[in-house]
Amino acid sequence: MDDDIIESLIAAVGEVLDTELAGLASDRAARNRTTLNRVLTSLGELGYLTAGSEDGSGLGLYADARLAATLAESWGSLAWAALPTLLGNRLGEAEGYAPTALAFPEPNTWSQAQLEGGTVTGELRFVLNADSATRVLAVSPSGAAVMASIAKRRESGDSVEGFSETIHDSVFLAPDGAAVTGELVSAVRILRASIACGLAAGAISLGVRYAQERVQFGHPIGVYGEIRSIVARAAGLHRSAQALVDQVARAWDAGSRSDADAAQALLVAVENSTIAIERMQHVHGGYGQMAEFEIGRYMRDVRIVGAFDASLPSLEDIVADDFGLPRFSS
Amino acid sequence: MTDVIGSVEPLSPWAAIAQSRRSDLRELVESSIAPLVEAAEATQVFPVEVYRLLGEAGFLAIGAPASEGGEGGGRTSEVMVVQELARAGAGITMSVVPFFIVRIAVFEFGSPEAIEEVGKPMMRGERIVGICMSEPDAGSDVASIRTRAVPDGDGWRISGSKMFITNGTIATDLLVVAKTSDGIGLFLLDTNQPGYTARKLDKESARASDTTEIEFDEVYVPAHRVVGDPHDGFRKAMRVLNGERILSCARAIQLARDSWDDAVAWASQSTISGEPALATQGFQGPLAAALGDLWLLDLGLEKACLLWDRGDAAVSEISMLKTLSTKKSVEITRLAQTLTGVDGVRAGTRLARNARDTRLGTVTAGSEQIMHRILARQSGWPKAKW
Repeated sequence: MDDDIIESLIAAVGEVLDTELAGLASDRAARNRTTLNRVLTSLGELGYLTAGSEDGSGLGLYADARLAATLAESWGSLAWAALPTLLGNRLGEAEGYAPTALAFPEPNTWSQAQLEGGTVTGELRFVLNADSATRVLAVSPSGAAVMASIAKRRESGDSVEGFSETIHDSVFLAPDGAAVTGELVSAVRILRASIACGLAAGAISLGVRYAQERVQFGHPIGVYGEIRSIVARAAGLHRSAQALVDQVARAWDAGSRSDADAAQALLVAVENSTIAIERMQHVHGGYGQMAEFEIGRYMRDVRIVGAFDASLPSLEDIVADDFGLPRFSS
Repeated sequence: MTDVIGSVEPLSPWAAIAQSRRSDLRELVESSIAPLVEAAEATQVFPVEVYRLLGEAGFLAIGAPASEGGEGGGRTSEVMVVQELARAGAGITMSVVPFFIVRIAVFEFGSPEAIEEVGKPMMRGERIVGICMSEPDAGSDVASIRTRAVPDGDGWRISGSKMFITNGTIATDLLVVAKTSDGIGLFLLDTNQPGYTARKLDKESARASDTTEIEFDEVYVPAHRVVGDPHDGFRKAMRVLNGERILSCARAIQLARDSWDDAVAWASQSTISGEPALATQGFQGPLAAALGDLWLLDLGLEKACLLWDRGDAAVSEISMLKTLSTKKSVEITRLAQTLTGVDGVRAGTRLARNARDTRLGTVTAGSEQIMHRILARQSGWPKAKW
């Protein structure tokens, strides 16, 4: 039953995106933060950003993951900017599109901040959406999540290559700290894994369209075996990653919450999606390197999805621990 | 990059010349060229003083024989120049590579007047050149180009469009591949002639280079600027393109090496559970595996240069190396980004820039699919229709 509701929800979101984003492909200047906020506000008012949360429609993490993938398929920055709201809403903040910032568990984010006894102090770096928020959902490398108020922002924050319509900033936290609000690190990983899959799906659509239209040696390049192979393999990489992410999200909703599964989903989703998008950019030939072609944006964005976490070996460690492999001790 | 490989006698007789000039060039790049890169990447405006700097210091005469007014050093030395420039960024390198390619065409096939007018001033950094091959509808399929050259008195007039042309807005001279009544010809076109327009393209990668779309509206080329037989230029164009591929390989390998270096440096300074990341097998394993790739690529590049300098076209070897080096440079840079977390995607870092620029290598100077077609043909396999 929930599956039918979720499919209806995704279809409805798709219709909103089709309407709101019509023309953005030909008007790159309109793909800006104002448009992004307008679309997310619309989605929030329609209740789509609270569909997964207990205080909203209660459809679970799988619904949020599908939503994140759908947004990313159209425009990665939409999914990235919605991430703090989706997570905040999971913590009982069901307010539609709430101006919440997000600090990821990446060690560099936390290098100048401490989390002790439910209070977080210091400077958090590479914080998403900090420009429009008064509070930050800080997900620490240890897994604890804290909602803290922002005392001030650094005047010039660090920026990253990708999700260019979103803002990554450094914030200083209010000295009175905040309360521990829950364990979110694995939920963040599952949603990010789904965003990676959505980016791959969007890139594959672009690659297929280009292969149908671009003519070389007298035929659309889609007739040639090498191009067909690239598309087929990219689609396989995407579907296998999406299937894993969906399975992990559904298990999460069923009460089987595994940090190892979430880490594995993120590893596979980022790796598979990165390769799939690289290959789709390759299908575009020289045009894939032109800013006016959308494929380059998908490539930049997917690298960010994997970056905001512990390093790859650390995620692998989480999976290996789950298999019972011993940790080194001197 | 840490030198963990035992020293062996270099294959190329030019290796000593290349090595002796390397430290001078590195100093020039670090002191005068690298500081220009950030602004060039941001504005997509290539700093033309790079040509002057390289010309004054003799690095544009390197590789060319003394009989042409060059310093000698063969392709091995040109590769050294490209790799040292690539350390400052692929974009800067992209706008210099055409120099070496056009020089081959002018000195091997050009008239004595063209050599005096363009070839020798080029080597002093006084002229900036490019090569016009790809068209909006003819990228990989070079034989289907539509740009035409028609006779006009003693000279020719060229009309048509070209796409993805490096140096279009800054070049003084362009080597244009155009169809004639009975084949394909090469024409050394003066961009100051009426009828020439270039539009700069907004790019994802190699942003410091000048990449353009060009229109020719009956642009005049005098007879002495026709490069070889105007109806028999296809093979010459392919030789020139093959020469460009060696330099594309050199650039790809250098970017891979730089990405690897950045990952090792990061892992040396970062800790995991209190230990340096580099002291864990999780980091050592993939980095050590990549080191092996880099070693093999270096050997392949050295061998390709040696063959070229001996007069061998080395079509198969260069095609194999082009496919492998560009693929590995994407993979090694992806690995470096994966290992370094948010530092690897931070805007303005070499690693983030390399991630964009390495992917460009898989489509420039012939995509990997074109390299595969060449290898199939070289192997004598039947022509694949699909």
